[in-house]
Amino acid sequence: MGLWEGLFAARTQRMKASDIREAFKLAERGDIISFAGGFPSPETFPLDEVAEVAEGVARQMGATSLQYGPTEGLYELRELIAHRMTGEGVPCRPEEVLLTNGSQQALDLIAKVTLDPGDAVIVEKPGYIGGISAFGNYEAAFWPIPLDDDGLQVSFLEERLLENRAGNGRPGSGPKLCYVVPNFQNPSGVTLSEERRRRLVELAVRFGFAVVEDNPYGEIRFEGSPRPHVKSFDGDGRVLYLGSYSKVAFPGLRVGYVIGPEDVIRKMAIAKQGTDLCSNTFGQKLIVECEKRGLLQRHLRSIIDVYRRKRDLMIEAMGEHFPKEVHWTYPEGGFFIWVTLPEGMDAKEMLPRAVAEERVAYVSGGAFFTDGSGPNTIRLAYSQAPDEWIVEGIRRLGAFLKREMARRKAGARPAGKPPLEQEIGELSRTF
Amino acid sequence: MAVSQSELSFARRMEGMTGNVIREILKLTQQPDVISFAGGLPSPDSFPESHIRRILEEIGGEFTSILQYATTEGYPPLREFLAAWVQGRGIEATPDQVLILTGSQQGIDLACKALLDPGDVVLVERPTYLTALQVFRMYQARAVAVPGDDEGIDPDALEKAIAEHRPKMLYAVPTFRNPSGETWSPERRRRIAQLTAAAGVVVVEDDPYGLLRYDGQPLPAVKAFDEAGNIIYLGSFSKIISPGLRVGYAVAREQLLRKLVIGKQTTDVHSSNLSQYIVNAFGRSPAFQSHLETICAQYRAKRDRMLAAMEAHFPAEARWTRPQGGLFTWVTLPETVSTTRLLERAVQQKVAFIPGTPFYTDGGGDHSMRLNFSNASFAQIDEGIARLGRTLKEALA
Repeated sequence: MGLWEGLFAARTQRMKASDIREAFKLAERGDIISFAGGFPSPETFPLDEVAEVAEGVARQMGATSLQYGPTEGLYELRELIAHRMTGEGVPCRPEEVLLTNGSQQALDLIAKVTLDPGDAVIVEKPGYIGGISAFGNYEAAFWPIPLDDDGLQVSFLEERLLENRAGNGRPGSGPKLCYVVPNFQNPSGVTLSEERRRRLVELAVRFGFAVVEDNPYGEIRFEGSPRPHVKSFDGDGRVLYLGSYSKVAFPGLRVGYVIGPEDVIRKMAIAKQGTDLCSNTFGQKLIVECEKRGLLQRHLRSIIDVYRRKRDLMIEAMGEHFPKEVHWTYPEGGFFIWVTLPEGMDAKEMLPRAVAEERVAYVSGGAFFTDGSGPNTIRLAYSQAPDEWIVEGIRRLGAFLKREMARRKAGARPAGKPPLEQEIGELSRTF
Repeated sequence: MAVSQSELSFARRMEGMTGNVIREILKLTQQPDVISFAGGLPSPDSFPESHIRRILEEIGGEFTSILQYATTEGYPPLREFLAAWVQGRGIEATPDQVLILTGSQQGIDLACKALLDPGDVVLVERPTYLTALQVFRMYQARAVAVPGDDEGIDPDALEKAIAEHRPKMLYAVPTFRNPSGETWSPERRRRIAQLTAAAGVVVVEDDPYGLLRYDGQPLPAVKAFDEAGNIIYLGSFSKIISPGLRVGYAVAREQLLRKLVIGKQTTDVHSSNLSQYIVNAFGRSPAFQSHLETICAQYRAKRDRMLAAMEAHFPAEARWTRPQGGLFTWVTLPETVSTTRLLERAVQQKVAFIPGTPFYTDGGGDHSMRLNFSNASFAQIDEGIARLGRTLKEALA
């Protein structure tokens, strides 16, 4: 690829081109029904209210809104977050909160301050690819642990940890971090049970690793009672909790946060200083103002209704149109349904045909595995598509799946290269 | 109150990372009666408040796309605007060669992320921007300073350093350098672009101050001489619109830019859409040009005020640079003075600066200091320089 290729760092050689951008391109094409990107639905944005808040922020704007801000974030917002989290069973002070440029930055900073090349990180199988890549960029080694309907299989993890300890006995040879999305997980939609949350923290204490609890979707719960945060079981400051305004409010302002022990927060702030000095002030001020006016709480209630309706529509349509050999999860919240096709089917290979023949798109599930498994899985996001598109898109996808299964039975390979293949590229990593 | 502690062990790259001098001093100088020449903060009166207020009030329907996720590369109209804008610095670029950053600081981090393995060498100016040195340390790279003079890095010394250290990268602030305020001559720019291209060294040209020129003719960026595609140009709106927006940008050929984009995807996905929208709207308005002229006039007057006050109050043994632009002047004192020790005394006298050492890779520069002239008012400049002059004279007595 040219003159400078040899100059890139080892971590760069490992970085795979992310195809978030491909998902965006696809989502922008009007004629394709895309269940690929896990974007919030634009119809949920309270535009008039946000415009009003922005005007308010503009009116009160003084020089401090435009000057460099503290690296840790606006104190007022750190206070609001600490207060809310304390109410949710995670007692904390503003000093234990670091504002980040979206919670993705918190993942990058955690990796930066904790991981040396080769350090092991426990990840969910399948797991959120943006998190896994952030750790991968710092040359982590992965321990993928499978999920079931109750989330991460903690007993399986315990066996692995015991095996590892028995295997080499060296202290410090075990994993350093465990990365989990405990609520309405991306990509599977499953939720970690309360009992497993407790046991995960016990294992972390016993085996000396830290837990990274990434919770962008937790507040978007359609039914059932909320589980306590993993961090609420944290007795000795080993759980880092990541929150985000991207899914419950709006992603475009890039406001997320991480809560952890003060010494870790301080190290992360030092790392953040080298990364971008501070987060943008307007985004933070807008969020503060929205919080003060109760806008986010009201907004949350209305989006829960919207997303519940979308989930119901999708689940109902799947029941009607999908072949009976196909299985899927039933999420109690969040944005995603995880679909398992019969063994031997290759969702990634099928995707260009789904787009070409039926004008419908998904994310092939293999992208969420670090070990090459899961070729017969699919992630569907119901969050973004308008209601009528959900029904129509699932009808198309069902027809497509039936046709693919019939093709397999007949042993027929579809002829020729679908024209869109190149254009779509490898639609793998998305939110 | 007890500090909450974790049992978490940190990565080796965090060893010795205990916060930098700027950070600690800025905390010290938050007391309202301290006159601070320490930070590199733009003047609060330089912000185009009323324009930004109007832009915010008139966003209306654009909010739908502002609130949604967007592409990592940045807001397309802003990338287009910037591709044309950098022509003013002699740079030919297409919108595809522009990446919007969360402040140009992010460009330094992303370039390191893409290029540096532990132990790799980065060549830097002597002295150089201290937060860049901090980033190189965090990537476990070794920063090696190349000697130069008031026209920039010495090309012969650069050739020697390249041969000796086989560096991956050269990092420099060629225009109104941080901290010294000096500027590379056009001849050096051309020569250093050629030398690095021939040796396969990536140049990170950090240009946050380039448009803040108070005297003399504008010079083309080093990137303007980039024939091989080895130069990453970093620009910023922090000093000419507002740092709170956190909007900077990188310009590079696709093969390098692509790697920065991939790094940014897992770093923060994209920069704030609202900030990008504001910068684009203001940047394209006729008010932007007159705003630039206004702040240049404002900062020119502040620079002159500070240089005059230094003339009046500083001891005869002190020397300082007379920058044609930017935010800083650099003071050199007799070698017997330690500015690190002097700072404590100065803060007691309610005036602050940054000691020279953190700008050096080798512990040098302890008899020098950086003074910022953009943030303080005229009255603060007069009073602060008088206080500092007294402190210096005491130290030399």
